[in-house]
Parts: sequence; C-alpha cells; structure tokens
Amino acid sequence: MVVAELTELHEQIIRGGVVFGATVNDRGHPDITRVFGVKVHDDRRTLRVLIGEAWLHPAAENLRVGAWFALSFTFPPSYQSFQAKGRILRIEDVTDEDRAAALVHRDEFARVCMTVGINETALRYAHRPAVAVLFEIENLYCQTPGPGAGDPVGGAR
Amino acid sequence: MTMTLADIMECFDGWIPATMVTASADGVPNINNVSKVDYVDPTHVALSRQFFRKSAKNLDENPRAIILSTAPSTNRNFKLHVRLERTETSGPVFDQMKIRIDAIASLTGMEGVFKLEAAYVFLVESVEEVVGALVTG
Repeated sequence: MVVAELTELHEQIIRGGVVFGATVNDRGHPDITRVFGVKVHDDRRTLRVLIGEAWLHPAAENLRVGAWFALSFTFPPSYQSFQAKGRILRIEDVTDEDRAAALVHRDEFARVCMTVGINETALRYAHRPAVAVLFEIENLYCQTPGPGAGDPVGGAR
Repeated sequence: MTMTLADIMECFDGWIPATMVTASADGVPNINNVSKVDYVDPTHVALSRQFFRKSAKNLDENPRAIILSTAPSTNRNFKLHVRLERTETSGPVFDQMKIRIDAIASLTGMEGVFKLEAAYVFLVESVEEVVGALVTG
C-alpha cells in the first residue's frame, strides 16, 4: 500500500543534498551507494535513482525487482534529513537525460559541500551513472537528528 | 591489498559524518547518519546510540551493518563491514562518548535531548575502499 509522497522541501534536498541508497542481499548483508541524481516523477512517489559504476559492487546483485530500497537525503547546512523506503519497480539503462541530471546534481552537491567547509575534492566525485533504479515510496521518515528522528512523514506507517 | 583501520585513521576525527546501513530480518534496509565513528582498537569501532530507533531494532534482529566513512583530506570513501559485538553502558568507550555528547548538548542548548543511551561496539570484519568513486588526476 503506497501511503507517502514527497513535498517540495524533499525535492529541494534531493536536488543538491547528500543522497545515499541502500540495499540488502539475500543473506541479510546491507550495502550502501552514493547517489548522484534522482528524478522525482509527477506522482511524487516514484523515483528514478542514478547509481555510478563504483557503487555497484556488490549492490548490483541486490538490485532486483520487488526488493526493498532505501534512499536517504540530507541537506548538510541545516542537518535536515529524510528517508524514503519502497520496493524496486524496474532497473534500467541510463539515458543522456540521466547523465545530464547527474552532472547537475554533482555540481550542486559540491557547492553545498563547500558551504559547510568540505574541500573542493567533492567536485571530483565520479558522477557518471551506470544504472537507473526505479522504486515507489511506501514509507517516508524524518531523519533529522533529534528526538523526532525516525518519525513517519506524510501519512507513512 | 587488505586494508585495516590503521589505514583510515583520519576518518575517525569526526570532520565528515559517516553513514550506517542496517537491515531488518525481512530484508528492509535502514540508513542512518552518524556524527562520529570512534576507533576502539585495531579491529573494533564504536558508535553512539542516541536516536537509533530503527537501527537498534534492526541490530537486534541482524547484527550485520555497513558503515561508509569519508577521509576529510581526500574524500576517499571506505566501507566498513561490521558486526555488532556488544552494547556498553559504562566503561572507557562509553565515558569518552558521553563527555563529547554532553559537551555538544551543552554548547547547543540541547541538554536532555542529546543523550547517550549506549555505545555500540562493532567488530570490523573488513575495510574496503570504494574504488573509482573519485575521478583521479
């Protein structure tokens, strides 16, 4: 049952914040990927997540239709942070549009990093995506540090 | 080449927050931002348990986790494959964390909110650099 969707605030953070994806293999081992680029579909529940080659080991084996996927997005200057969870709908090859979106995200990410004193090597992240993961948000949570961390957002369970 | 914690000591200075992923017994991942990873000894690290509702539940069900840490001088990324070994509510690791967290709480007016519940001590099974994460040259 889909019960949560993103707001404009969430989309703003996703556009230039620190974004991570997470998967789990069938033996219960979690893995983490950096994400450079997320397209939010018009329904604000379906996300197209771009993952680079360097982060596909061993995540690639975990990317299966129907498997759970988690996406966290954090805006470092304010510490605002959220996490969306849902099941993978499709795994697709990347397009020219994806590659352009990843470059925009990389630059915005680097700009945000530098506002909080992270050095300019943030610009050196390999941003070129290798795969696009589509998943549909089922649950959305606040992750901002504090006593409200973990609370559901927007009707999530 | 096998990496060890000694190879990534600058990751433990707390300059760049780390990120931990845990998994529930039924395979749902959970991502958690971690302000600081504490070096304990050559094979162990520790994390402060403060706002870890879901992570704590997951670790009860499945002790495996992964911690992504970034070297502040180079932005090199390292994955620490860890297994929860024990939870401490006293002793030197806990006390050192408590001093730091109490100081932060005091400086930010968050006494009573930023409160250390426990120290999670993890066995580090392997350390792996994310090769290709940065463009060289």
